[in-house]
Amino acid sequence: MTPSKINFVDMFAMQLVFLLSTSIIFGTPSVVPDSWLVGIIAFFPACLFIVVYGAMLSSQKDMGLYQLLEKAWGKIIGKAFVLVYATYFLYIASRNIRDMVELVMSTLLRMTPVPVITTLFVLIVAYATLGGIQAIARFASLVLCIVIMMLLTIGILLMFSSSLILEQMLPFLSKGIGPVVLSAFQHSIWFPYGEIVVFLVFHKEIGGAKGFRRLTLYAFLSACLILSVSDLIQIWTLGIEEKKYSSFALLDAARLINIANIITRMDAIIALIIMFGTLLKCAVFLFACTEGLMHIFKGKTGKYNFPLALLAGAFSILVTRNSAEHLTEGLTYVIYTLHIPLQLIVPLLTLLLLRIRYRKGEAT
Amino acid sequence: MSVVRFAGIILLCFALLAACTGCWDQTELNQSSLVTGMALEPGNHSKYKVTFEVVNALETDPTKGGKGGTPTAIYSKEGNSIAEATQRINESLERMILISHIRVIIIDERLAREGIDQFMDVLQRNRYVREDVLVLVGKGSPASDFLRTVYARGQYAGYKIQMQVETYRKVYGGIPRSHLYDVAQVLLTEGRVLMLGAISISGNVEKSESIDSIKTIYPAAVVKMAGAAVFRGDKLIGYLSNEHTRMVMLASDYVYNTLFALPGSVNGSKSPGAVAVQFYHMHSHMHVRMDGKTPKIRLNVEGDGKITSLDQNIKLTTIKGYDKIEEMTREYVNKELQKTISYVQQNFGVDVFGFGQHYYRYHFRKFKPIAREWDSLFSKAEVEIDSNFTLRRPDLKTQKLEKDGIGP
Amino acid sequence: MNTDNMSFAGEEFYRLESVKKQFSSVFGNTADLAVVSVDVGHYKGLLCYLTTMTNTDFIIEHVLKELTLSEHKEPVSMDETFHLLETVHYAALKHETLVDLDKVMDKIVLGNAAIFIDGFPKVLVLEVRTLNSRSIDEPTTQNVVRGPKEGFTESADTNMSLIRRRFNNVKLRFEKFELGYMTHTAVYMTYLDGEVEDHILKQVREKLNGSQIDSLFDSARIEEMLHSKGKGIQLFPTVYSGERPDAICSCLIDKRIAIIVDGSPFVLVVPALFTDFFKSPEDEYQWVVIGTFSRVLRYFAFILSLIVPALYIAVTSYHQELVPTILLTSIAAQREGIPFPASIEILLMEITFEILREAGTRMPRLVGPTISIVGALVLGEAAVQAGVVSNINVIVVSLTAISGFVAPIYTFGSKVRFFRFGMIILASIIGLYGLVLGCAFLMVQITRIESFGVPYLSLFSRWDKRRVT
Repeated sequence: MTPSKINFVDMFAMQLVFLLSTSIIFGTPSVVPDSWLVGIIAFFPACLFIVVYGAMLSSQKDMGLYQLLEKAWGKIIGKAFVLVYATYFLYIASRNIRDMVELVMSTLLRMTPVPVITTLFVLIVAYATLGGIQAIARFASLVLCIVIMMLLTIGILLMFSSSLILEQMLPFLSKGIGPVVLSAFQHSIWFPYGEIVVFLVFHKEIGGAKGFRRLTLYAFLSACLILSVSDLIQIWTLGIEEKKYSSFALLDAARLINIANIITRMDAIIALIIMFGTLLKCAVFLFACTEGLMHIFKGKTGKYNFPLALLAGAFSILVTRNSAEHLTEGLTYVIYTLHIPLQLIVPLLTLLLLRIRYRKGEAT
Repeated sequence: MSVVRFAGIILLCFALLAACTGCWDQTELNQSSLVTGMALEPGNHSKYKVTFEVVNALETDPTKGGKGGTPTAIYSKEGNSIAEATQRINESLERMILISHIRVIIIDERLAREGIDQFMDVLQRNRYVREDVLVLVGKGSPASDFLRTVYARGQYAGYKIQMQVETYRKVYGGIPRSHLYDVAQVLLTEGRVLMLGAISISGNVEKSESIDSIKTIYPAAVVKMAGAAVFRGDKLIGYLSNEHTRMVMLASDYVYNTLFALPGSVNGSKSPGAVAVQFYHMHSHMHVRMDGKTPKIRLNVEGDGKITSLDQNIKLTTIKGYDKIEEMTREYVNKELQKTISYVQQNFGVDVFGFGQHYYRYHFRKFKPIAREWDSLFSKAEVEIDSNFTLRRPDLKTQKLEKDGIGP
Repeated sequence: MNTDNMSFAGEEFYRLESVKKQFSSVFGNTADLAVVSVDVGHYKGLLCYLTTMTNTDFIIEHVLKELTLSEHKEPVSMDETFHLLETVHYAALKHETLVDLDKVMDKIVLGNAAIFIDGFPKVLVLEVRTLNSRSIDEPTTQNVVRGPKEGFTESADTNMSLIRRRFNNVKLRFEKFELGYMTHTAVYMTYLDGEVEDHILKQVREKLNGSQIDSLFDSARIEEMLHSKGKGIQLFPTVYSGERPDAICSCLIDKRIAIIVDGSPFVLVVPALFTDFFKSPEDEYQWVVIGTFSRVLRYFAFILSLIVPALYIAVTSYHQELVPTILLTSIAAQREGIPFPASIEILLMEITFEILREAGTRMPRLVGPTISIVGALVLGEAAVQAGVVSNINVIVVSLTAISGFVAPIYTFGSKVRFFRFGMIILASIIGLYGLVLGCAFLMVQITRIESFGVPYLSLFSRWDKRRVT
């Protein structure tokens, strides 16, 4: 009966679910035929994030993203950056909520008003964040079990309904390796891998620079593996050609499950995975956002959670009109205007500034 | 936060939800009806005529037995798109319809000749339509007639036809896989044309509509499997018989179980059924290569089976006996396959076997330049068939029961 | 040992004061230790035993009476006194002579009494272990097929002795508190000294000392008090209550604290985790595979009893596409002509069942069968016959009801029933989405709770290397 401590396995679970949640269904955009390869290729450049963020954390002792920003850029600009990051996190959270709502509206419900769906969802997100990062991590380990179990179930059921046809992944690299690599650099490394930047906020819970490097590497590896396998399952069931036209490929694959006409229509399972995953991802982002606001404006814990959650919900409805707009925004604009600057450029600059300003190492 | 306050908030939430009138998506089962079959025909006034087979749930319940009515009712509606006709079905039906349990979609011959692409989208896009719903072509009769037959055991036509197709395919292989997702897959990939299952009716449909028709030992009308409907692009161009279909399916590795009746060599080809062999694990592989402008195709067929009937005296205790029957099977299958292939090449000139698809998958770069002219290349293709069958056991008897004779 | 006792020529003489001190240092402040000053013949003596291992009548009758050596008027030497005691007075009792104090203490926890004589090196140890005269019944809420059949009773003394008999260990402590300024009910905090985390002990002590209640008639009041009130409301029980001594003892081994309340046969254990509520002591007495199987079965039943009715509603009135066709037509045939929507139908039957259950537990034993006949046969059968509810509905409700009772701890099962209604309402408003949200809420709730600082549910804590266990 030892009291609660930071549990590394839980933290790992949190990172993994975070990486998997929405990307398992929206992850690799089907712009190239061999999308499963994209995930594998994207892993290598994604390790760059581990290097950069690890260096950031190790440059100063016991400092998270927000403290580092302030330290590197000074009080005013630093705080501005903190605000930018907090908004960024909230925005991604709202995008994820939108993803989830899109899925729910096209699989489970038809007529229920979107605001109702969103409100109920964000209330639970806010509630999950109230318990602090450790509670979120424990929740994540529960979700991880569900997600892995469901994916396995789907794989096995597809196998039993003899829907997995390995031949369908051919022709291999019909458009050459070029587009695959390009796609990896254009999309996959920023989403989901780059979003790991949010974990810099929880430097203490994650075990400093050393813990961060190790955990994130493991999480990246497992996420890469699981995403590729899930991509392969989609291709094996649907075929390269049909996957391209599917709005939710994994869902379409799950629809093909048919065992003796009794076990059919498992698309609800996918909706389940996505809902739990999104819940966790949004909780992480929301928690990081509230931490940022508390860093700037101070205040009691739990003061910002509910308003911010509702804000994210409202954002998710208002931000785009239809799913095409949502997708284009996600696949092009967000990557160039938000992901690349905030995931790579600002951290790199911060690291540089930290190195220059505090070259003597331990000087504080 | 006290318990009272918490409970209050929860209650408030529920009250708010209820106040928003809630239950938006609710469709009660006792206020809606299942649709199990759908038939598409060209309409008299509008573009399409859509016929639904709506289940009368009470009559299908074996425990309650119902009131002796028919298990299904047929409703037709015309409209300029299928979606429109579906929505307007309530002009004549009082309940909401649940289309998520459609088992078969029967396309009228006339409509199929015009092209099926025009209405496939609505079926594929709709999430309520299952991916494994059967898409069949009604040969010889209007599509709605297929739903108009009543069967014994309180079953509805849609379910009966689906089960019939699946079972027939499983035990004999005389009808192609024609699920909705197969349609999409074939239409999207290169080097293979669409083949849908075809069904026909024998008997009197008019009589078969009444429940009385199943009270006889011989049903008034029966739906029969009629092989495959072959398409060029999305348009129907002709039919293949059950036998041809089986050979096509065998070549594309979709047949696992089947039975060959080998004509006896003793009495000549006029008496088929001299030897019957049953196969359980059949497999076929194809190898495609281009020799200049003619595709050279090599087809390997393998099978594992047993001997089910023997009309001539072949001793199955000797290796030679097996060798002989295996040789007969090989010859028979090679001949039949060759016949089917040349039949398809001459009559349709489209690749229903998927040779092109195989070439596309495994030799993508070589296939790319000839993709457009594949069908014309296919009709000139040379096919070499190499089959290899293994008969494992003779079942219970080692030879045909015959008196050996005591005399010298 | 040697430091406190004077030693002459290698022999140790026991001084009563130092013996007392040693006892209190080893046994702590446990409430069941009796260290009584007595006269042994003409010398000062000390009688030590555990009250929970014997009964007072026995001590008075057989030990104290003999101790005065009343028939020897003239003083005898210490050696002779000891010899007399050993050979004459206590010859009938099983006894032995010991020198080492450690051994003496070990004997005491086994139910022996020790007699020290001031300034004498030997200790006489008598076996005074007696069975308590109070009848101990089988527990009523936690039944087992295989395993001890003893259950706690209303008397705290009996309960303590039930625990002590299983724990022959000097580290076992019973710390006494008095709660309720009107009733002064005795409450004992039981734990293994040195095993339990100090801060948990401190918290429990604070909670017990800081209580402002006027009366205490059952441990339920304390349960309410100990139930950790962290952030927000907590829907799951964080206090385990058991009626079985073996279950409680295995909790003690697990480094937990048990709380015995005089007048209540339910002993509480803190901190309690989610998994504890699915454990039955029986699991450990069986082949491990069977034990694990039944535990998994319990989790499964828990999930079933939570979601089955809600799932039924969601699937039949929102997502018909998820049901196999044949099953759906069969359900549809049964629902045909039922006047209510599925959600109302389920709620109706669930509430009926709750009423039946309530009536079943409260009414006199003799009327029991009547109610079950009326409830099960008349209500269930007639309702289906009359077309008020469908057959499938009755199946769903009874399946849920039965799986609701699989949870070995009653308090847990009764809470699950509550969530079930929430799930039903959510599912009947927005279908499967509501059901999943409900589950998510419960999952968040479960993972958020900490019972005295220990996470209520932590899946991977077992594999964390840094954990000190």
